[in-house]
This record gives sequence, C-alpha cells and structure tokens, in this order.
Amino acid sequence: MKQRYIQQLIFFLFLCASIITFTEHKDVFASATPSSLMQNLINATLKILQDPGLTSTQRRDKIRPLVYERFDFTEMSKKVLGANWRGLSQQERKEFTAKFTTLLETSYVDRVDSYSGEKVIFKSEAIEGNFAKVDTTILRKTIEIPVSYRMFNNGTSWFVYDVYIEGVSLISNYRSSYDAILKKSGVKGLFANMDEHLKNPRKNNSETPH
Amino acid sequence: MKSRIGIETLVGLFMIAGFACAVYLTVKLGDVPLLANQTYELSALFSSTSGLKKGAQVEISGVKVGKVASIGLDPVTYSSVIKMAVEQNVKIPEDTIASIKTAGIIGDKYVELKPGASETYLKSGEKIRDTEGSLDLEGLVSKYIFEKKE
Repeated sequence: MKQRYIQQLIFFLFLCASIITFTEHKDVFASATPSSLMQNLINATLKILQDPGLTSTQRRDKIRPLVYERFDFTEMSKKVLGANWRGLSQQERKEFTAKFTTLLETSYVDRVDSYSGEKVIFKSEAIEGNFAKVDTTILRKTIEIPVSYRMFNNGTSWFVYDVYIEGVSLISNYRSSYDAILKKSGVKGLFANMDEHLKNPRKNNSETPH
Repeated sequence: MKSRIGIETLVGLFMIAGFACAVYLTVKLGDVPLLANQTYELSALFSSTSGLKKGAQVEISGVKVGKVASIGLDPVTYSSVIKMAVEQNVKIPEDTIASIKTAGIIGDKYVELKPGASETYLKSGEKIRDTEGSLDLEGLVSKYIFEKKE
C-alpha cells in the first residue's frame, strides 16, 4: 500500500516537473518577439546574399531552410484558397499546398540573383493577441519599398502567414486570381494553371534586367 | 347633406393615400433602414481609405452584403477605422481580407470582402484583421518614374 502511495507521489511530482518545464520552454519561445525573429531571418539572408564566395545555387540552398523555418506555407495555402479550401478533399489540399509552396519558392527565392545591395530597415512591430505585424522598408538605392510581414503565434513561436508589399497583400492577390480560376475551371483547372507557371517560372520575370 | 359627407370622406381617404405614398417614397428613396434587412457591425483598420464615403457598398464577389456605416480616425495609430453594417444572414470568416477597391477606373470606392477558410465567424462588434487600403497610384507611378531615371 505504501509502495503504491510512493509511486503515485513520484508520478505526481513528474507531472508537475513536466508542466513547469513545458511552461518555461514556452516562455523561451514567447520571449522571442516577432520583429526579433524577422530581424534574425532577414539579417541571415542578407549575409548569405552579400557573401561573394557563394554561387547562386549555394545561396538558394542556404536561404531555403531559413525561409521554410519562419514561413508557414500550409497556413498560407489555406488562406490563399479562402472559402474554397473547405470544399477540397484532404488529398487536394495536400497537392495544392505542395504546388503553391513550390510556386512561391520559384517566384521569390529564385530572385536571389537580382540582389543589388538592398538594405532592410525595421520600422515597427504591433502585436494583438496571437497576431503580429512587422513593418520594414527595403532601401533600393534611393527608393523605399514598404514591406509588412503578418505573423501568427501557434503556441510555440511566431510564423509568417502573409506579406504586404506597397500595401498589397500577397495572399489577397493570389486569393482573387485563384478564386476566379476555381470558379471558372475547378480544381483541375487550377492545378493545370499552377503546373504551367511552374514549368515556365521565368515567364513572368522576363522583363527583369537580371 | 348626405352627399357632402360622402365627398368629405372621399377627400379624407385621398389625403391619407397621398400621405401613405409620401411616407413610402421617403423610406424607399431615402434608404431609411426601416424596411432593410437586419445588420450587424464589423470594424476594420486601414492605412488609407482615401475616396471612400459613408454609405459605400460592402461587397463579396460583386454582391452587396452591407454598407459603410462610419469612417473615423484611430487616435493612436492615425489609421482609418471604418465600421460596416453587414447583413445578418451573411457570415464572415475571421480570416477574411477587406480591400478598398474602385468600381471601374474612375468609379466610386467600395469595400470588397474576400472570405477566408476559417470556420470561426466574426461576431457583431469584432474586427477584420487583414486589410488592404486604397492604392496610391500617383505615389507608385512617381516612385517608379524616379527609379527609371537612375
């Protein structure tokens, strides 16, 4: 009987200890503010971009994991499809997330070659509950381009779910165009359209000088 | 005598009918929310609502679902705060994006709602978090003209 009592006590203490550890662990993450996380990501990215000893493939390979760590592509995919997401099967959702992630990667991470000494200035951070807004400005020679990151807290850390460039939301932009495609030609049509863009990633970038 | 009463009643009825028509027209044309559907209020913070007027339409996929009830200034951030009266039977997911759009090239400004994927719906008095303000076309054009010069 006594042995059982001791066993229960040990179990209880273990439970308490794990709760305390978990809470502390959470606090460690919580102490990292959205802007400090973005600052780390952007500084690390700029360092890679400014390293003259790296080839463009090496740069991409180094930047990719950094971006994947801070951007929640599943949440972005869900938000991009908006109300249409509810009508998709699990398989279609997975397929869309994979395609959309690759599409964003080819459109943005592949732009590393066009880097020409831009600087990033952190302006402000606003947190409201589990959501945050980090405002930055990209300095390109004398031009200032406002870029705002929208982040959410999933209980462990902050993740980016949308990017506003010049006040235009990336998610909103894709939400409108994908909604139009979905209404016109269904999921298959949307996937075909995305495949087409994935096949010709440079089609839209042909006007850029780099 | 009898016929006189008859005429007076007729005139009276005619007057009542006239008043009824006037009331109906006032309510209908003046957009008095007497006959309108029940609405609930949602707010949204925009960087700019330049050109948007009180009473402007709130649309989803081009369908009117409400109107702008008021436009004010946030005293802390100096952002524009708009309040929208949305029809009771239209449920708005919490991750909906609100954008200020222009009807045509020089048309009126209106608020477009793009519903999100969330299963949680906004309740009366709540705020739409993700918004896109009016696009400053002149600002953008001048920015890129200067960039081209370099």
